[in-house]
Formats: sequence, structure tokens, C-alpha cells
Amino acid sequence: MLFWDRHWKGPGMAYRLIIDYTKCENNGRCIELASELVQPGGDGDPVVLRTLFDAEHETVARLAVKGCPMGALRIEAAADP
Amino acid sequence: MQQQAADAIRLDESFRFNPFDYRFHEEPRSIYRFLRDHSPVHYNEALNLYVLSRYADVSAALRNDGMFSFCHSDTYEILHPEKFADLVGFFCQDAPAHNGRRQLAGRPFTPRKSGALTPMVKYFGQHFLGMSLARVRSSQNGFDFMSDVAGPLSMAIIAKLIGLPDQDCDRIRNWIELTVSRDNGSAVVQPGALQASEQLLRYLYEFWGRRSREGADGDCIVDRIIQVVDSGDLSRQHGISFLWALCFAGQEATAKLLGNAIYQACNNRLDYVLHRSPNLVGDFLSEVMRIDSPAQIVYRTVIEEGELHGVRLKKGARAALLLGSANIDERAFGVDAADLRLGRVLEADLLTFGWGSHYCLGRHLGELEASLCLQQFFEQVRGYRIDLSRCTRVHTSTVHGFSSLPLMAIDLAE
Repeated sequence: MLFWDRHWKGPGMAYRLIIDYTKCENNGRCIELASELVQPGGDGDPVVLRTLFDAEHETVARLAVKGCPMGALRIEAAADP
Repeated sequence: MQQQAADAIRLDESFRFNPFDYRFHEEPRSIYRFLRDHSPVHYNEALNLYVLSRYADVSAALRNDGMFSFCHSDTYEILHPEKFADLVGFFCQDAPAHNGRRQLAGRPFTPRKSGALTPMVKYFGQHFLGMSLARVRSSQNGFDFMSDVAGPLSMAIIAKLIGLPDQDCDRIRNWIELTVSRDNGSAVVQPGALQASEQLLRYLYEFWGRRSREGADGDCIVDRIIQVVDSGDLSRQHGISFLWALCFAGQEATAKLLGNAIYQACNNRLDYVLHRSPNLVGDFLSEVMRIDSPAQIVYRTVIEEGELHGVRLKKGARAALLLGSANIDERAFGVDAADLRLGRVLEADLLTFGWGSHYCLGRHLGELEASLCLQQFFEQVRGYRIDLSRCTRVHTSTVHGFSSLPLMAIDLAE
């Protein structure tokens, strides 16, 4: 089962987690703080599992945004899929 | 251990936390527990210092730079406010202004770049460890893990990365140790510390000038920073400030982490376990970084009044965030939080390396150095004892560890 299938709770606010790879220095903090949303890719760089997530994961996403030493993450509100 | 710790601290209402008290350096845990349980927002009037000790409070304060700012210094005391203003001011900023500081010199400490240093770290580890163990084989005597292995190893690696000459490592290390050392109970920077810091600063300026004249066309950190300065994006003072910080962080934190690990392995009778199961070194090191990290305290300045646990925090006061206490707070890590337990699954984010834009720049290199050196050590050593009567602690307001850690009764592997 895909991440989105497990975590999408239906219509409501959706968010987009974005990694700015020009700032990212691959500290891995986002993976430690929000493993539900971010995992290491094949080359070790963090990869957002699913671009969209719902309010249930907003807290952990904001933790990752604030915890990134480089300020390389941001959250944007997105329209419902 | 040293006899300064002989007089136990009275932990009652009269107690005032003093980060310069040698008894705290010897045994911080009972003090941490008292503060967490009875005085979670502690105040030392004489130092105008608030002390936060619970995980939730320390964690929240690290994230709240609108109230707890990094604007002054990461230590309580400032070496010399006028002479060292540039050095301190360069790094003492909050996010987002601080973020760019981390990217200087081509981001030399990312996990990938740190990982690529594995062969060099292994070489230096075996070099210093090999010399010490050879002496054990020939004389059956022990050696001092700090002065013979941990100190020279961490200095050699950071020196190689910066581009500092090998032959200068010992005196740089000596200046660093003198610079951070404080008298018992006193926040005053003594003349010896000030003199050592001035010598180190003068050395770095001379070194910088020499590299500049030689073209600064190498791949080491100093050459890359000189190129940034020459392009006009950075002042020379701030370039020197970056080198200064790298010398202290690369030397002090990593060396003390290694020493604390060797101490904890013996103290928890894990030396034979780690020899038989080197795959446990990673787990072991994670626990050492939690229960006995070199980074015990970070300091902030209260820039906005607020209230916590019924205590009014006054603007302008300093705040000590006790990372070492937070990391063993049973409220966050369970009832056995203060114990070293291999295989522990952490129930909270470790605070050892700080938070956000001030998250430890050299974490990955430090972990690499420590894990490789410990693997090499336990591959070659089955067991050992520590001569506690000759151990000495470092006495600084931030770093926790040993200046001397004599090993004896060393049982070498065949």
C-alpha cells in the first residue's frame, strides 16, 4: 500500500513539502524528525515520499522545517488532489 | 579522580548552580536530577543565569530564538569583549542570518564529504593507537588515552582538513586547552587563558598571511576561505573566526567524546563485549552521545521576558540550557534514562547536537572519527582498567570530558 493511500484521510487541507536542494547539505535531520514524510534516496539525498500530505502530518512536517540546519525545507498549502 | 570533588555539593534550597564548579564537572548527574525534580527553572543571582534542565524546556528553548537568542556567545564568559569581538560576533547570530555561515568553504562537513574521509581517519587512528599499543607490548605499561590518542588524533584530522602544518598540531592543541580552562567556581578568564588565546589568534593570522602569499590554491579549507575573502564576500577577520571555531570544535568535542566513550565502556564493563561484537560500537556510541556527551551546556541570552514554571525570566539575563540533563531526563527517555543500554530505541530527539541553524556542523565527521577509532581500539584491545586516581577532568563552562585518562592492565588481542 502506498504512503498516500495509508495517510490520506479524504478531502481537507493538503500541504506540499518542498526540499531546496541548492541549500540542502544532507544533514539528515528531516529524515530523523519526519521519517514518515522523508527518507533517504538512492544517492543518500533526502527524498519526500509523497509531495502532498494532510493535516495529520502537518506537525511533524513543521518540525522538520524548523529543525533543518540549512532552512532547506518549506511547506506550501496545496489544492486538494 | 581529583580531590576538588571531595566536598559534596549540598542539594537543597541554598544550592546555586555554578557551571564553573569543579564538583559539577566531576559528577553532574546528581545536580541534574535535583534541578529537574526541584528547580526546573533555576536562577543564580550572582551570575544572572537561568538554568533549564528538563528535556521539554531545553528542547523548546533551543527552538525559540525569539526569546533565547544566540546573539552574545555560546559560552557564559567572553574571552575579552574588545579583542575578540569579531571572533564572537561572526557566529553569534540567530537564523536565518546564521545559515550562510555554515556554507563557507564549500560545505566541508556534509555526511557525504565526511564519509569520504574514512581512509584518512583510519590512517590517523591506527597511527596514534598503534604507537601507544606498541609501547604497551614492549613495556607492559599503560598509556594516557587523551594525550596519546584522542587529543592528537582529533587535532591531526582537523588540521589536515584546514591545511595547518603537522608540526604545529601540538602547540595548537595546547593553546586550545589553556584557552578554555577556567579556575574552580570562577567565570573570570584568567591571564593564562587570555595569553594562550592571543597566541593562537596571532598564529592563525600569520598562517593566513603565509597561505595568502603562497597563492592559496590548494583544496584545504583555509585556501577556500581565502578565496572567498579575496572575492570580497567575507572579511579577513571573519575568515579567521571560522578557522578559530573549527580548531576548537574539531579538537575539543571529538577528543572528549572519544575519552568519554573509553571511560563508559570500562565503567559499564563493556570492553570485552565490544571486542567480541564490534558491530555494537555504533549502538554504544549513540548511548555515550546521549548519557555522557562532551556538549553538556549551551548558553543563550534572554531577549524577551517570559514565564516558565511560574518563574519570570528577565530580559538580558543569560540562560544555560543543560543538554546533558535533558538527554537523561526520564520524562523523555523512560525510567532508565540515565543508564547506558545497548539497543535502546530513543523515544525523543537527542539534543546533543543542538537544533536548527546551530545544529552541530561537524556531527558527521565527529561520529565518523569516534566510531572508527573505537572499532580500531576494540579490535586490538580485549579489556583494560582506568587508573581513576590519576584521571583529570577538563574544567570549562561547556565541554565535559577528560584531560587525562590513564589506561592500565591492558589486555591486548593476539
